Amino acid sequence: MSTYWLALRQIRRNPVRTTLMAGGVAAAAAATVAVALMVAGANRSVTKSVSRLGADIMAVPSGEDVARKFNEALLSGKPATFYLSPEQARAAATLPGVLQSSPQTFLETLDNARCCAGKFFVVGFDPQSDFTVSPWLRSGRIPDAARAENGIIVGDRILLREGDTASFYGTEFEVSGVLAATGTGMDWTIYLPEPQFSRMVAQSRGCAERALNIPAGAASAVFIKAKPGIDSIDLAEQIEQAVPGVQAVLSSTLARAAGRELGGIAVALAAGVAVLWLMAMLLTGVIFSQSVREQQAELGLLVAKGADAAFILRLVAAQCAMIAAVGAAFGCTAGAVAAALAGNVLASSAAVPDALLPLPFIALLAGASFALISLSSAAAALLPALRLLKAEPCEALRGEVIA
Amino acid sequence: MIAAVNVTKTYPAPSGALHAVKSASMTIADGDFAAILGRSGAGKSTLLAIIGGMLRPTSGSVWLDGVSLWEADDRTRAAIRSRGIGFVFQNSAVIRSLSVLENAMLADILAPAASSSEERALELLDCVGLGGKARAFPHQLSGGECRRLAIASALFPEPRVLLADEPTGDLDAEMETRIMRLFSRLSGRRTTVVIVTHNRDLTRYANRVFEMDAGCLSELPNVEELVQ
Repeated sequence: MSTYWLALRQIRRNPVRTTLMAGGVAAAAAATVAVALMVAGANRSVTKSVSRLGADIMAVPSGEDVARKFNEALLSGKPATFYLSPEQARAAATLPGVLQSSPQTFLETLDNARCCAGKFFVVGFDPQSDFTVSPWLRSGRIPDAARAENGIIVGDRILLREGDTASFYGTEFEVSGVLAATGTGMDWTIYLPEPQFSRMVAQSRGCAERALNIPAGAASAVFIKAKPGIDSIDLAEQIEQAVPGVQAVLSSTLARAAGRELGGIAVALAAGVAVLWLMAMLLTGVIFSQSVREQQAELGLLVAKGADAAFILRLVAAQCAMIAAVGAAFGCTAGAVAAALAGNVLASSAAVPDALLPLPFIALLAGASFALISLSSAAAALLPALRLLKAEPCEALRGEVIA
Repeated sequence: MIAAVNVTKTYPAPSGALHAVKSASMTIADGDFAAILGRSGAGKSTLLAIIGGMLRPTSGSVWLDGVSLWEADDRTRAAIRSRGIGFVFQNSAVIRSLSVLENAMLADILAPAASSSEERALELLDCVGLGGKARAFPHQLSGGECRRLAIASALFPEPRVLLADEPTGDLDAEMETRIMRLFSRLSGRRTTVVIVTHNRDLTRYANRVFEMDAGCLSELPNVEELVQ
């Protein structure tokens, strides 16, 4: 007979209480693992997506408001309209440290656009210089879209597919290509190659509900790739100094902004999990306090027979840790499975690629949660045991210590 | 040898301090069979608990084989209880999740013994008339059977001192005789036996008889006379 064997016997005595405790711990473990994995997955998805934009720097008009709108447009596809003059766009694109540049011009659809409900983000891009849209093309080819008289490219979440038609500002378009899911605002964006974009702007003056007044050669943002060996931060400073009225947004800054946005959600979720965890520990403590109360005469008997404090604490902690370990194992597995399923669902339906974390990471997080939950549950159970140990064995035997 | 010197136990009460034991002193030699007589509430169980290292006295000292029980630290006292003292409790405490045999061998959990411990436990259960119920669980036993199980469990580690609080309270006359004869035999083998009882008949097994009244302890000089 060992302490752990006796602990096992004791917890088998009350299956309802054991199940209740294990259930509480399992719920806390599942929530912890699932939330941690989902937040980490979403963070990884956005960070990877931003890094895959391909541009080191984006030159946009100066102003905090513009920077905020630009971030929102890129990350969530919220329409934004601001413009650089043709001279500014050209100057930013032709600085010595620039390897590659591609201008993009932003618009928003009218409320009654035939493609979609509400306002959508429309981006005019130059197919010749583009290096940010084409890598994401899932079907169709950019040159085909550009050559076609009215070809456009749509993001993964736009409810249009190849061959579908849509009308913007009085011009009829046909979808020539669809982008893969990016997990960024690109999924909600409609891309018009340059010839089509200029034609739409020109035609809007005659047949659109509202005419577009965008000067020829103007751009909202210039996407820039730095030459090898050129520091992005130095180049950004150079752009801002050389081109008045222009600010340079670094893609790393954008990724940080995305991280901050997710960080807010993560903090809220973590607070929820912390509350759940606290409640689970409280439940464990209360239930186990009841359990120790029921066992106090028996624990008193063991003390009377010569058990020291370490033995009693080991016995009580082992009981709680065994229950918590079973609950945590179930909970961590359920949480990991839920996070994996959610990752797949996000990847396939909500267009958040890379949300599913690698298996070793999931296993590590689940393992850490398991250990933490088992240990904290055991610690929660020690409180009533300590109360019992402070009393005389004789009082414990009579069941008078814990009321 | 057990020695209690001026042992006092006082409990706080709404009407002032309640003196459960008042300056009790006694010396019991190895192999003595002592009985402490007294009515309910006289303080005899309290005194036994203090002697057994389970209840701290308000004042006074208890010596067990030269060790001052209440001046020793918790660990030492636990070790003395584990190896040196067998205690039969008034409430026949047993562990409900363990079988009769496992309860009898409870000391094994605290200090694992040699491989023959199960045989010894079965022998003891036979001695107290529970040989046929070794695999049963406490909830399947009567009050008297639980008492006998508690006795077997107390005797299992072969203690040098056996303290028994109303050991035959739930037993029929035949079983009472059997248990008391067992205690007498142990006493003959140099085990010090101290029982607490309100049953004067049991004093015939003892060679020392004490009486407690309202917390005051006194030794009765002539045991045969008392039995008469």
